[in-house]
Amino acid sequence: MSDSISSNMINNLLIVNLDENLDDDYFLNLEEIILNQLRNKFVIGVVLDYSKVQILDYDLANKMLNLVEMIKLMGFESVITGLKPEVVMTLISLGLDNLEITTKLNLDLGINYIQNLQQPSLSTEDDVNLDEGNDIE
Amino acid sequence: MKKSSNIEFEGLESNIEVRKELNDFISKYQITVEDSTRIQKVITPLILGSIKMMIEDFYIWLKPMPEFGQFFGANTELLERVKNKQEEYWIDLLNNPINEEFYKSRVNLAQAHARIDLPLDSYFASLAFFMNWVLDKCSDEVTATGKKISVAKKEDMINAMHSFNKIMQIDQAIVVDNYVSMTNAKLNELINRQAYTIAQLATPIAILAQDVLLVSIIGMIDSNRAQEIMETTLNKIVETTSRVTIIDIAGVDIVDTAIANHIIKMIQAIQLMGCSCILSGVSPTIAQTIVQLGIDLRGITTKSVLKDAVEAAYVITEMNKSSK
Repeated sequence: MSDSISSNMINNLLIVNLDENLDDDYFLNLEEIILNQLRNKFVIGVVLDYSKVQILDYDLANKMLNLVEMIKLMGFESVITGLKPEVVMTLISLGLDNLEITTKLNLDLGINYIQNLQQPSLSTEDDVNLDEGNDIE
Repeated sequence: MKKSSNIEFEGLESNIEVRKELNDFISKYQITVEDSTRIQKVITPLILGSIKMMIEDFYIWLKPMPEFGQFFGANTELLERVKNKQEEYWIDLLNNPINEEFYKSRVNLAQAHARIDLPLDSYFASLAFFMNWVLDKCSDEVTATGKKISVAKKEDMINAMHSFNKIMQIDQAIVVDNYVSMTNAKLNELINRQAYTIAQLATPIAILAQDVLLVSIIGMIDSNRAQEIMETTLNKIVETTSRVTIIDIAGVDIVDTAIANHIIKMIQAIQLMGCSCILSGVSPTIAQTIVQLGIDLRGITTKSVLKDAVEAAYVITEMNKSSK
């Protein structure tokens, strides 16, 4: 296990702060750590915080998507938080636009999102598709 | 008209600079000291006494022209001042070789003309008038009947006329050069000012309410502008931690595939940031175009009126609050 990967469990929520410098090895480590924790501990969801990440290339972006897919396959919800404008613009210019991921502006909102998923009384709709969101009022 | 300058000399830092620029012109136009001596030997005695008459003739010629009324009008004081300047210029020109004073007076003239937007053709016409006046006088002198003129004197006169022509050419070159650079400077200033205004108008981003941003897109969108708008918008979202962004395209006249693509990319980027996005200002024409072009905007909340978009944004923020 690499020391550079920082993951914390808070209220059964796995929160991962991604490192500034990402590479293939890092992601390999990351996948292993996250997936093992999901199996071994009682986890309600994963928050992947990208706020430190400055640059994302095509390979790393795909790895990011794969990780989300793996977490989903194991039956857990995940949310990506804190994508920087530069990173977002790279993703868009790479043509990675129809992304099947949930993103939130910052860690706080990401944690809220996952926690609210656990409460059936609240909407599980993505914020964007609001047409059925009237039941909240 | 020829010398209408009452403005302080400006634009040249020092006499060294003046000397250098003047030398450039002199070497380009191959003006020699001989030119001046020739003029002084033959033309100066002929013209010097009738400079005042020449200038009066000039104004008789100029008076019916529209330029006279436009630039002098009833301002007799200005007219007198210009006449004096012209007299000074001719006295200096006929008595001295080309010097810094000559150059400065030409630069001054060009700057004054540029400042009052006097067209170059007016300057050319006036210059031609003076030139013809002098040359007529010279040729009259040698061709006048009843006079016995030696071949040597005729030759002197022809040489002097040639030299005079050269001086007029350099005069013209200096004035046009300075006039053009001054006019260009004026134009550049205007262009810069307008570019600044356009840049300011490009992307107004308003904070509509807590957590709600409004981005109004006006006019044409090309890929550069789309990139710029995207960048400023995303940074603003981070800065204000907004949860909803309304993109208002009411100010966009035409939507084609390229523009629609830019807008879609913008929306996707905003959503990737974790911010909801509402497209507002979809006019009937835009709606028709979007469907006809087969552009897929499903999954994006679109509204036609800003009011509805604001209401939709309100619903989202309320939902976020209650889910906290």
